[in-house]
Amino acid sequence: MIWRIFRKDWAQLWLLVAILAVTQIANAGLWFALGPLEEPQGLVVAAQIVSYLVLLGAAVLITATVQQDVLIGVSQDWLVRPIRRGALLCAKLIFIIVTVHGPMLVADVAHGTASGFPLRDTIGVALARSVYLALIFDLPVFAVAALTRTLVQAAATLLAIWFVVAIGIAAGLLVRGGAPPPFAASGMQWMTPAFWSLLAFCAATAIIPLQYRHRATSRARAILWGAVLLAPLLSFSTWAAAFSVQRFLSPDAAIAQPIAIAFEPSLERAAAEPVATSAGTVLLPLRVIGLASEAIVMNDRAVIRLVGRDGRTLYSGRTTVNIGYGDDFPVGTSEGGEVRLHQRIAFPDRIYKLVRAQPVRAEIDYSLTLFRVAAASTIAALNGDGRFMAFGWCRTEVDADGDDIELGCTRIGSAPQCVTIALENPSNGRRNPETPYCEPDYAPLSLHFHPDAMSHFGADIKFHDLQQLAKYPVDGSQLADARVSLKSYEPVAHFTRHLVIPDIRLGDWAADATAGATQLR
Amino acid sequence: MIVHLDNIWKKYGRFDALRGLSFSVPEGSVFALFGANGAGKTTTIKMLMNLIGPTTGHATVLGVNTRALSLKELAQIGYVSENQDMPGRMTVAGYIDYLRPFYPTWDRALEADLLGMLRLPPDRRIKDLSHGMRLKMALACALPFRPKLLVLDEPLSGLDALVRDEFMEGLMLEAGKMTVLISSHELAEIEEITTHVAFLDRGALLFQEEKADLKARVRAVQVTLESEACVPAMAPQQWLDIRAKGNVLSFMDIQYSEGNLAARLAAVVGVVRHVEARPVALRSVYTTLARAVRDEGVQK
Repeated sequence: MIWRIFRKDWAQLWLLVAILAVTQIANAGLWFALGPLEEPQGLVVAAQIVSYLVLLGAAVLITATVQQDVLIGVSQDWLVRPIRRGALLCAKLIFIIVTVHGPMLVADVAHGTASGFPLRDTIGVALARSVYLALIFDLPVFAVAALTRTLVQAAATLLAIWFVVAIGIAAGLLVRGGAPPPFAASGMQWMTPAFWSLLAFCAATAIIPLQYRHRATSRARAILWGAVLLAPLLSFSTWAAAFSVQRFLSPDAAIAQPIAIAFEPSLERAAAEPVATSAGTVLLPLRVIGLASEAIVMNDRAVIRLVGRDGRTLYSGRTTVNIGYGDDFPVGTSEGGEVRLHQRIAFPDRIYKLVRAQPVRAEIDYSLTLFRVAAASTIAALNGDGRFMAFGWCRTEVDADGDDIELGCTRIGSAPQCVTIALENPSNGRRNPETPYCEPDYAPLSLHFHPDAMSHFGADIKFHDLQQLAKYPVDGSQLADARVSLKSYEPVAHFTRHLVIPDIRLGDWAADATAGATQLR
Repeated sequence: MIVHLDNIWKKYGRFDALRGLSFSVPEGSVFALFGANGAGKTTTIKMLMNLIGPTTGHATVLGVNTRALSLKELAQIGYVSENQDMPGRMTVAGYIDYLRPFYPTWDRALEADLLGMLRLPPDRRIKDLSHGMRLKMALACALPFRPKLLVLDEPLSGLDALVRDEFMEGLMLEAGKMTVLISSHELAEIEEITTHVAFLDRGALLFQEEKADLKARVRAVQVTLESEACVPAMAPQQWLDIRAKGNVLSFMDIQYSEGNLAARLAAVVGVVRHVEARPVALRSVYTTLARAVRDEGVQK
């Protein structure tokens, strides 16, 4: 029975299947043609468009497959035929696996193997991508299709879902007085899509059997809209709650136990690196101890509270107005032990004017993540071409301006989330400053599914200042001997620290107009 | 009984589509369910096919609760409806090829006879068929497996005379070998093949009866009087649609009996010159009864 239904659907949808298969193969082909350096640039846009067309095409095919035998209403002919509902569902699922994921697997494996990755690894990653997409994309689309009669109705339903979720998120923004969601633009931003995926998966696995077994459309729609209304929930959650979950998910929480942060007044303000900064910014001298070697501590968020002599809270807020990966406080060390740095804290002008001259008690709550080095490799700086376990297939070349080395890597699965890159010349031991490229993602399971099973990452490594303001130890004249050193870091522990400075006058640590600080190593 | 309904209610919000409906369809009969638009015929049939569930009450088809119809029962029920959505992109032949293996009793020779008789173009897509063609297509998909029960929901609605004839011809090919439950508000076309009738009005059953008994007890009576006729003030309840014109009184007697008509006439209208009692078409029976029920209620 399943085979008969499959063949019937195939006869109706083979053209759509063929178009989707061609689009998937074109997607893989385009990304392969772009290579690690993703050139030419114009083709990147085309490849990105095609990658979204693949998702759109898959959604259309899934919907069309389900709606070949519409589930809502009472006039469909198949309802009065001796067709087993379970067989119908199985036939649809098998059809989607074969027609959507078959070409997807072939395209992913072809792309991976053509890029020089081992067949076994490529198949594993391609399968993982397919399973992941099947659970968080196919099933929810399937569920919406099972609740609608036509493609237009399904599209309208998806649009309505998007609209309701957007309103929910906007309501969250209003509740927070316009502030963005608490863990947006942090390593914890995986939580929102993960929550949505979980919600979509749970709703779909409830709706699909309900529709196929009982055709209980009203109940199934109630489940769908219940899930949609729950979707913006995380927009209302707090940082503390989310970070508690993240701490619980730490791969190795104990490793961060020795780490402590202390106020270090002996560290002179003059030691701060010259970085332009604004008025109302304080450079707080700190000492971070207990670090293991080859470690990075990322400040996910820090909240400072200033308490006056009378015990009244004068100010409470984040230490930086930036939404980013804690650019005020990235601590990196290759030797381990102790690191001293100036933490840049920006206060609103009104607050700063109020507190700069008076002694206050400062309390800072840090939410921190410890990264440990996971892999290190080097590649020739000029026209390098190499394959590495951690970084994938990488290539280098000098950019058109002649001031940067362009590094591009293609890897099966997810890209490394935090990489430090430095240009070095082993023949004379010179080394340019290390630059971190971090897009932390603290998801316990890092699954990559877009634009295909391969991920792409890259960086521009400066060796020459076109304005002639800075001089690099390894400059253009040494590129033939130079190499790019890459280190990949993985998050191992999420932890909190509470720093109390009983008596401080912030004006003593103010940054002037020309001096600011990020860190000292 | 091949179909049995027991006190079925179906509510849509505050609207009662079916109100305590009970009737039975004997095996081998051609059972016609008559009623005006909105009387509840389609709701009844969709409930029997388990396309919708009753709010309360109990119904069985082929001895099985309609809510528990299995593949075994569905393989013995043919269904044709004016609102039947078949896969529009499939061709006539393609869809029949698809359906054939689902029915163990499918008869390919009968299929070929039907396709020829109904003049269905095998290569045409279903969505390109006219309304009449689609109904014939539905019949062509409902008969080849020789169902025990054929359910037809308004099968003649909107068909022109030629297509109607072709449809009925196709139906007659197998009629007599199965039980047929047919709903219609077009009585004239199916009167000839009907053995049992049930009349529905606003979700309730007016009555259910064998057609022969019904036709025997219902007569259009025309009485010629000696003097000017007038509508009697105290006419028996069984006299419906009483009209007086000149010295002629006419009415429909729903409990006609040749033996006692003269006595009843004498008691009500006095001296009678001539009486003529003619059999009545089902359509007239239905419209007269429905009008009477609507106006005041009548003993059936």
